[in-house]
Amino acid sequence: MNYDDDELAEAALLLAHTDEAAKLPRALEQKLQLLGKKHAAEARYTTTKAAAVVVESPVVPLARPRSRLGSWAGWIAAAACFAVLVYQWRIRALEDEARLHGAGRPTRMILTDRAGQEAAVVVAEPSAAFAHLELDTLPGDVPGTRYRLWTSSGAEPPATIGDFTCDGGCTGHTFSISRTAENVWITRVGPDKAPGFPGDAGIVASGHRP
Amino acid sequence: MEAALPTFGHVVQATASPVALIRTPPEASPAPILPRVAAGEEAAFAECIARYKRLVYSVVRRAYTSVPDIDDACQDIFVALWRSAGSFDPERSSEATFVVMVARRRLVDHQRAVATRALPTVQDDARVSSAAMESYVDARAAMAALSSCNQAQQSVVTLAALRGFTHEEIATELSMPLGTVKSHYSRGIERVKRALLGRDGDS
Repeated sequence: MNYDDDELAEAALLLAHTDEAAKLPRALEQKLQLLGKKHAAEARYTTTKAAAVVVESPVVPLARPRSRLGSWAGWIAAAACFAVLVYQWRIRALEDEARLHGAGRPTRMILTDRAGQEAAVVVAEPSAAFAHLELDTLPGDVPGTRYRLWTSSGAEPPATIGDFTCDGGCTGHTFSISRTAENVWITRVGPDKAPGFPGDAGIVASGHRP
Repeated sequence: MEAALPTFGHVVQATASPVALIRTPPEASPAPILPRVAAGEEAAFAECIARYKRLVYSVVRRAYTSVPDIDDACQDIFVALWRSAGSFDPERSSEATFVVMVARRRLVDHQRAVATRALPTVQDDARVSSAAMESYVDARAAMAALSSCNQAQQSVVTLAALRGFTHEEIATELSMPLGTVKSHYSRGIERVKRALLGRDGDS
């Protein structure tokens, strides 16, 4: 309630003119007592309610759900971290294993003829000093046919390794070539052919390591 | 525009000797109740009624004569007092003065709201209460200050304080220019305020 000093001064003057000699009627006194009890009860309810909010709220309704939620969240976070660690460890192990197996696994290179048929295969064992080329079926493989084997690595020009003939059929014949050979060609060598690397028309089969 | 002329008593002049009353030593001040009411202390409500029921009843009887009006006004004033208990400032006034101020405001508001009803005829007890002058330091200080004012200032301030007259109503009642009324009121009430601010004690 707002009030000013003028109002207080007027009240003080009225106070000076107020005689309190008169006694209250009993009925009015009882009404005032009842009124006082009613407002006191309301005040008690308000005070109790406010106290309950202040005192109990941090303890009962809020703490338990929060702690339960916090506990679950903690476990979930821990489990997630553990799963990530296991996953990373497993991935690393698989990579190491693949790297290890890759180093010990033989590499294969397929040589195909013009029709795309497999003509030979080059297998390089990891522990071997040379790779082995094993012939399957060469086109025009008839007795007396002479073939020449060429290899190269990277941008090097093809270099001949030697000539061979398959009088009893070429299938199953093997040759040793360099492990580093990335390109392999087999050409047919005629009696009138020069020993140089022929064009595409003279290549019987070829293979390239990716 | 003011609609009604609330009346708390007849205009009279102070008859008691303010100087003699001021010399009365202040009584022991009882602990104020209203702060406890504001704090919601249950027992304080009953104590408040016990301490101020006669004061409130006396103020109300200056405005009303019918029993139902008096009963309603008394209950209304106590409810207003409890609701505004937190506004009481012991540095500005005594608790009794604050109680009378709340009662006076409620009566003025009510009488202005029912302006069509005939104003009650109050009993002729508007003279200064010797009992009040003995009991309340504020009352003594206020009357001492008012007694030091000139006659015109006393009349204007008394009409405003006891009857709740507005300045326009006072001008009409005293056949006085409005500006003069305002001037008298301002000087008179200023003296009373200064006296209250300089009070030595309370009861």
